[in-house]
Amino acid sequence: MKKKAGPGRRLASVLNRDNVAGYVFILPFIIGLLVFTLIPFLTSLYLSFTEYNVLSPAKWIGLDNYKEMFFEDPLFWTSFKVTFKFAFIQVPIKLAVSLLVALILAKATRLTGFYRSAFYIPSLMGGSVAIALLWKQLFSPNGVINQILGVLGLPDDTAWLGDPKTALGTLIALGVWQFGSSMLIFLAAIKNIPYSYHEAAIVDGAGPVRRFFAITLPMLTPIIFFNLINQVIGAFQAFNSSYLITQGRPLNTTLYYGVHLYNKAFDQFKMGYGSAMAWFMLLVIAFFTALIFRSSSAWVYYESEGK
Amino acid sequence: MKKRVFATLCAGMILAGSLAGCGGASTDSAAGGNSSGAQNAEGKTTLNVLWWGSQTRHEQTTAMLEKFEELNPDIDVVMDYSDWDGYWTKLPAQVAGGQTPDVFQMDYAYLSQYANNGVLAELDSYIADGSLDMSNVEQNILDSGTVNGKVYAISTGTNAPVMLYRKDLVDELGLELPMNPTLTQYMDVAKAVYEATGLRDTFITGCTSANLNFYLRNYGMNFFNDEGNGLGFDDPQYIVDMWELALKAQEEGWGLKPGEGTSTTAFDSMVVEAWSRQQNSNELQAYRDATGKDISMVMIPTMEDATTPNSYLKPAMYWCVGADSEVKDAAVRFINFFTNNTECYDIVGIERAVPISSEMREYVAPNLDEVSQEAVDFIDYVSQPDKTSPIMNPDPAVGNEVDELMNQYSEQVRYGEITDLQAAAQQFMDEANQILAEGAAAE
Amino acid sequence: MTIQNVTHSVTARRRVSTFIYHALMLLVSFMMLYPVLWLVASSFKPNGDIFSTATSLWPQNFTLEHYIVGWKGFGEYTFGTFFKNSLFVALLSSAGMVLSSALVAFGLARVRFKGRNFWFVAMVVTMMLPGQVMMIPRFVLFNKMGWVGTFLPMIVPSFFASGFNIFLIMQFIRGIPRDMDEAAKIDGCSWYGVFSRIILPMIVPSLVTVGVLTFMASWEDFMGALLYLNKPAMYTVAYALKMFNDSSQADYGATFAMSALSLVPVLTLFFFFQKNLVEGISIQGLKG
Repeated sequence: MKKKAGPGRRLASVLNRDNVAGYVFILPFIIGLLVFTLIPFLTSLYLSFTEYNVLSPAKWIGLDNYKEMFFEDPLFWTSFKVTFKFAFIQVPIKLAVSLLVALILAKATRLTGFYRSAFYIPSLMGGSVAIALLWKQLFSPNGVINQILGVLGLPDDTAWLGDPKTALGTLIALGVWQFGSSMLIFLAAIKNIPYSYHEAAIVDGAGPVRRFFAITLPMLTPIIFFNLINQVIGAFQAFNSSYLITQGRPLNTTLYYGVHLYNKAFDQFKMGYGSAMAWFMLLVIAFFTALIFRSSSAWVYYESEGK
Repeated sequence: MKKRVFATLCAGMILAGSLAGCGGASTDSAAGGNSSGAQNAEGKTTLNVLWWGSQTRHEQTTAMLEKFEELNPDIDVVMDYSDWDGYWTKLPAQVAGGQTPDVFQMDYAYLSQYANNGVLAELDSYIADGSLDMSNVEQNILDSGTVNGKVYAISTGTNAPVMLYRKDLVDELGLELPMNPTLTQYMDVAKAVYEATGLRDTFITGCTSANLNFYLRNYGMNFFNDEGNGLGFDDPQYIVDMWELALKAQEEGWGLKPGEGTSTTAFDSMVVEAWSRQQNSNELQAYRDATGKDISMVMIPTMEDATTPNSYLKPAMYWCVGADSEVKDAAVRFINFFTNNTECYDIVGIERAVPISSEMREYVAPNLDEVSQEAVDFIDYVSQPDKTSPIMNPDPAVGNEVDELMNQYSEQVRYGEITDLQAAAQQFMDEANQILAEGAAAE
Repeated sequence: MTIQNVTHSVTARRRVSTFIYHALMLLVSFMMLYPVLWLVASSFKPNGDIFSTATSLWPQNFTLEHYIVGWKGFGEYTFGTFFKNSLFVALLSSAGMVLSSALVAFGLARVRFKGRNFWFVAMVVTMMLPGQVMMIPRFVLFNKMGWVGTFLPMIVPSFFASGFNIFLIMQFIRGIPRDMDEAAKIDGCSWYGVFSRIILPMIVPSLVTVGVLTFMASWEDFMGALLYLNKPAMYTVAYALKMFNDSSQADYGATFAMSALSLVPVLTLFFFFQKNLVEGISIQGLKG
């Protein structure tokens, strides 16, 4: 790497130095971080050491919120466990489903556009009122799901969202069903795999299965990695489905951490406590993210670094 | 570096600012918005008004506020509204940012929380000097907006808790629910309706602190004590009674089983699973519209051995004035307009429940549609001396936490996770009393 | 068996498997489409029928009333205003997001500068804190800046990239061999040239994805509208949709009708952009 330092191009050459160019490129992020994120971020950290009901100024109470969280609030641990269970079940299923569907839909047929749009629709409807009502309808004791089960001769009187054994699973199903964003990202990644790689492999006589394991899958690992990180973070922060559909019931089996946090912060005016919960969750997420990052050198293949 | 960052940012802001201006399509200046300054460009007083509601209310309130502007040419009203859930995020954010609206709607459940934190302006002096004319308003209605001896909130209208029920089904079965049923009468109908239609009861199996409150009020007690620093009763048997009855109802089938209610909304539940619901009198119309069924209402069931009437008249919601508002006079003028002006009621009718001023009540009565007339008649019926007792004080600040605790216990009882009801009731009371005592001490 | 027969049976078999493929896909599509079908069907049912005939996808008593009542909006503002506002916010946000995230992602993925790891970690950490506790401090901040009551809080932050999108684009860039930019640099290309001439054309699919996802997120953003918009003239569709329902009143018909309409722009956008995402057509740069 040689730098041109011709006359009159001093500025250009300075701007092209790695240490300068890097910062020029990430400048938007740094500004955004300093202006829009850092202050609220640190404020929430400060608030976690206070008693703050939002309506009047915060009062410093040291570690009391954290003490209450760990030792005096049984629902804190309940919600923590629910969220873990939710994350560990939903993430792998959703990841697998979205990858599989993306692979199927990568090839263009006349109906591919229709299929893709259809598969994306549940994600489009996100956390809307309509989807909450629909999900309640589908899984109500005399809803469509039970009617189908009845036709198949299976037990058809489960109150899916009201039974502590099935409620969380029903919400997980909703989450998996909204796999559209991950699918879209996978589709973009599959498209990005140079076709010449496949051509070369075909010339070498590799069949579709070998090509998948030798080319497609390794080339997709950076995006699998991204979707994994993203979904883990998303699952730990899950909020909408429980808040809109079950409000944590029955028997707190769907009480996500985020919902408990919201109840505390806004229903019970304990924003300080809510902030403490958020910061604890940040640490937990950071721990798992770090683990995944650590593991990534073993299974994520970067074309830019792999050669 | 810092300077450059700042300059870039400024440029960005200016750019975005000009963009925001062209997209706003608003008649007044785009930037600044909720300006705290009292006067706008035309020298008018700017009055920020915030409320929650649904389409009907937004429509009517907009028209009503435009009428108010017309009658008060020196005031320019800036309207803002949201749905119910969003409101309780939006309002706290505005308070925290020092942007408390000048006039805003308030709910009974949140009143003392907001009053105790100094968010609300005292209104006593305005009532004393006559700018807020309460001469046609009964004292107990004024009391309902009073916290620690001071008036902070003016009721928008009077409501009563009711049992909404499927009159079509009850009539079909040749049954009748009296206007003021006893619990036994109510349960008899509940069982008969269940046997004939499969629809169940949601009142007895509710097991919330509100339900318990109705039970306690038969014997002159409330769920919270008057000071708000403890529960208003000390015998766990009341809770045990409530739970036992609920368990009986769900075992016999005429009460909703736990978990069944979660699959529906309040409105469709009256079509698919329940024949009755505890709601407020002004909601009759909404339930008729949403269900398309003949729904009617009676008072909350009472105990045969009751010593006092358990029902009460309650404020549907309030208007409040922000403590830091710079235009309190204009704000009070609006509340006075809402309370006492016939032109207001020409537009809003009884949408925010039956007017608190006796004069306005008489004024609206002849022009009401059938359903509204029913609601007014109902309030008139309930207003008779022996039908109600005074409403409890507004919930203490930690009230929500105790309500949630009650729900937790009740759910475990109804799912059969708790079997020793006596011990659980006592445990609930101990925990609740502790929360309430700590909450009161913190204020 | 003649050769003709063999080819014939192969095509026949292919036809059968194509048929099975499409039959299966259509079945699954129906499952995925069910919510929209239900939504649209419900939006044509009278309010009394919506829940009593919830399992039926065909309205028995067809009505257009919900569209008329819903479109009317509130006061003088129809859904026309709300759609315009939503489009304005969503288009600007996604444009800003694509632009800024691409720049930052390139910087973090390719340029080896001092402090790169620090900024990368900072970026990942910003993805982790739940929004609910940032809400109030953020509101206070924007309020101090005088931005409350404008669209700025819903648009401007997008011009400064977000962790999620930076990371996404980074992963794509890291999938591109370095040989290409090394070669370009030897030819005298600056970092800026490498970015605009070599990398940018190759990450178009990921930029499209970021654009679409940002548009959707912005289109659905209820919280931003709730907190920062304070007059009906500025309300967005996501915000206005919630206002048909209240604790004491509900017009589900109008909610569904307007929800269905609100899907039209995003679905159109999606259908239009997904065409870009077909395997093995682009990336000409790598061939040969």
